[in-house]
Amino acid sequence: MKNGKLDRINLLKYLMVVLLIIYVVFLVTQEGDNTVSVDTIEKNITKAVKLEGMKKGTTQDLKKYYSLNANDYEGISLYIPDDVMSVNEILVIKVKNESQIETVEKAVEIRVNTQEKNFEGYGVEQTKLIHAAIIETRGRYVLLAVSKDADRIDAAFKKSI
Amino acid sequence: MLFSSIVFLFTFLPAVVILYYLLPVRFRNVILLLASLVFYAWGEPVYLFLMLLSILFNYFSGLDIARNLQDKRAAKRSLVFNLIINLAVLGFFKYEGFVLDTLNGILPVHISYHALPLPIGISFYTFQILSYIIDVYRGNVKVQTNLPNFALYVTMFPQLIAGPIVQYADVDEQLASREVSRTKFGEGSMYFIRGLAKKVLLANTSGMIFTEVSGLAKGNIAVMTAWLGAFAYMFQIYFDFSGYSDMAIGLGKMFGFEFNMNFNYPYVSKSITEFWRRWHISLSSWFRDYVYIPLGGNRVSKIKHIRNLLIVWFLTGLWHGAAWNFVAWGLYYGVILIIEKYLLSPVLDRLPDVVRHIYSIVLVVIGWVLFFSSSFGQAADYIRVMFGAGAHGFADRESMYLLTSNLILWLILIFGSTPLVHFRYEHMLRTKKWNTTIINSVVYVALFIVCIAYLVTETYNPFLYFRF
Repeated sequence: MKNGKLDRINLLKYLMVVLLIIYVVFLVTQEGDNTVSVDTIEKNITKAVKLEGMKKGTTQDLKKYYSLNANDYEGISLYIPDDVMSVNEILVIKVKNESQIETVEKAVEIRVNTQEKNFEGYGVEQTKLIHAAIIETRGRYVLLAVSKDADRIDAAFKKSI
Repeated sequence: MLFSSIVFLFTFLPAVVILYYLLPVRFRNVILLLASLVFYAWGEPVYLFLMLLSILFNYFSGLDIARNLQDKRAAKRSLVFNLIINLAVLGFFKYEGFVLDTLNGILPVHISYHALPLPIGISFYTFQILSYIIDVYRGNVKVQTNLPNFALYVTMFPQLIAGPIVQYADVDEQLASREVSRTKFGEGSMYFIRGLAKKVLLANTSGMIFTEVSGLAKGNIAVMTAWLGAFAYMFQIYFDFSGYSDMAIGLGKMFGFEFNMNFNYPYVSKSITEFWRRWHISLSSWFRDYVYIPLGGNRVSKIKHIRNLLIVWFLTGLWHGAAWNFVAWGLYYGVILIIEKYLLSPVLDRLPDVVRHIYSIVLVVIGWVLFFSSSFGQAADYIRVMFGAGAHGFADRESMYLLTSNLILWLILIFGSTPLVHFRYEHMLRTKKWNTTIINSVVYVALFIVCIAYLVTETYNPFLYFRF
């Protein structure tokens, strides 16, 4: 600032600060609430849709199908197929920190690809459902939904956060 | 994009190297800058804009400070404004959730918040920017008037997302002109492959042992299993992070840059003071130059010196993560360093080396338990089991299995974390008078092929230090 007037360098410097603030406000308004528990999301999903063709999964199932340790995450909710010919599945994970998101997303992708290979060629309906699987990340939450009601599960997931 | 990903190794890196060496010298910085922006946008497209705004703000800020150097008050005002903005951005993205969670735990009301994902590398590039701004203010470096060169300093892809933290003064001249040669390129490639092998062959494998132990049910862990789990993490984090640093230094050399060493075999240390001279050297140097010394360092009264050390180690812990266990980890080292400095140092000097090694390693392993645990309670439980409380005996089938089925791996991890392997290899090359170029080519190409074989089959394994 020279003689009380803003010169070009300062003008540009302050402009960058203003742009930074606008950018942060924009990012925040795009994000959801990170304080919701996975149990709440699970309740909202089970209220919104009837969970057919699946049963509650355990932490061992998470390890078996996704190679993920439940202890590493803040919360998990897993529903797995209830018989060998079903592909219905729901996974909701709340990560402890954002750096885990990529790992979870990758594990989910691998799971979906494995299921696709398992059913490709003979399970037409199953393959269709797997292709229509929804993988959604919002804030610190990751969702996988494989079901004919995947879009409603996704809507309940988004509404919860 | 990860250095240890197929797309980086076989598409991105070859393309950048070819363009870098084919195009005229004057385009080299621009090529590296564009490559770095693509590299960052690959994983963080949303936050590319944040980094670009940060670069522009700091570029103009640097110019403003530099032209006001004759008027100290104006320069200081500009510096303080800059520090507030940079630390506010870092604080918002990294510590918002931590601060509000802490307040929610104390206050009777619940503050709902919208925590954003952490922009990858923000802690590293913010510290690099601060080193530039403070050094311009101190008159230690000339202001960078060339915007692409300044942007390249901030974004340089080899060290953008997990360090080492390169201080501006160390690369100031290299940004304008640097030497490239076949020898340097070869050295860089060897560094890179060595780092890749550390990550893929050693860090990921020891990480599997740690994952196995951390997946065990509480109350089902024997003393030996707990120690093996903690040792596995100790090796994982070392090979992971030093591997990344080697790759970064190697890539730097391939493009003509010389970055300082970030790790110097920390697990051979005979005291915690020595450990911190060998571990994450670029971070320790940063805190020394920009926090510890300005606070007065050790040229003050004993009480103030202790205060300075605690401040630095509180900040070091906080830098690593927005959680109280990281703060505890930092202060844990702060307290040990104070005790070593004022009480233990004369005693340690008289002890046999082997005792000093054991003393250092035990304290470092306990430190890693604080580091990998997600809460105090979890850390306390784990440490209790390590010392027998609530343990499933001293050793059980699980611990014997972890030890015996990985015996070769444990030996490789132990010897690999000492200078022995590297020195023996160099010594052999010297004494046998073999053709070093041919031997190195065969050894490193073989190592690279083994890494690729692992990479194509294994699942996604990001670097641990990406979260910082």
